[in-house]
Amino acid sequence: MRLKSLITAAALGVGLTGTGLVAAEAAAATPTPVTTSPGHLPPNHPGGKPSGPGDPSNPGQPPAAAPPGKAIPGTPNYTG
Amino acid sequence: MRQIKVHTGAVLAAGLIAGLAGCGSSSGGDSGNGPPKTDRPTAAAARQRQGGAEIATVRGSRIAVHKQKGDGAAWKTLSSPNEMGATRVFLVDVRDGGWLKVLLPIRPNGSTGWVKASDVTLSSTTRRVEIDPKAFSFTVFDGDKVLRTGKVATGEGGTPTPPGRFYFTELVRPPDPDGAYGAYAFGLSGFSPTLKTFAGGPGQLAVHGTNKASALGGKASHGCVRVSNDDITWMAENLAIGTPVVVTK
Repeated sequence: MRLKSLITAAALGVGLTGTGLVAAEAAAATPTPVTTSPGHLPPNHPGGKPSGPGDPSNPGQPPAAAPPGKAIPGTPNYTG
Repeated sequence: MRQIKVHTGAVLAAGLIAGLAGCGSSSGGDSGNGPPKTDRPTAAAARQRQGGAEIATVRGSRIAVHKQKGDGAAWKTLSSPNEMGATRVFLVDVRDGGWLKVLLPIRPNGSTGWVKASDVTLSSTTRRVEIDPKAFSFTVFDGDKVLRTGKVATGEGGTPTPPGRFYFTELVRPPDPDGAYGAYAFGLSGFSPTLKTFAGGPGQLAVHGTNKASALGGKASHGCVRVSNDDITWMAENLAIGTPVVVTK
């Protein structure tokens, strides 16, 4: 009887632990807003819009400095 | 042990709620939830004094351009990449809430339109190029500081280089650095006032290198601004797409 009670208590404990684990994982799995480049999160993701520099939705931040241009190989057709 | 795990979950949940609340207060900046509006003109004025500029890079494969901000229907739709295969960028003229007034790379030179701020990513530059056709020279500034200066060739009489405010739309590396376009060519947002087409293109202006360095310092081109290959290579390594270029009168 006592053994039965112990087994039951252990089973209950494991079950509740699993519940807690699930709750913790669910909380951890919910995305939190982070600063990322536009390509990493969909633009309409709640809180997923890039909040770093250059983000129009965060006008308090000055836009980041633009890097030097990346050259495209090709034959120009400018007026010359 | 169970209590610790639940507590952790509660802490994470509380942190998530706090984080989302903070994000919510900042993500609606353009709708009035961002920094106080009194801060925005100050920041913009500071950038203007420093000669800074904002560059808008198109997100996605096309962007709607409007005649007026807030217009429902688009006036034009521009693709990205652009006709030269580069990600489409604009030089920002004015920021107004969730809208940007931008210089457009279309005729007539100096055309502007409005785009939604949410359709672009903003970056900045404190550098600009000034072309003096009378002195046949260029100067690259970083704020008030002169970074580089050199000789240019501008358009001949029938194919002048027009004055105006432009910006670099793309950077192209020609297959032959010893060819007519030199080592590199920066496309400009402006067009020849006299050539509607050239070499299969729409008469677009550029700042590019040259294989005729002896012609620098005079009128020799079909409208483009030619610089030495050393100068265009330096520009390619130091200037962003979207950098403002002013051709003085």
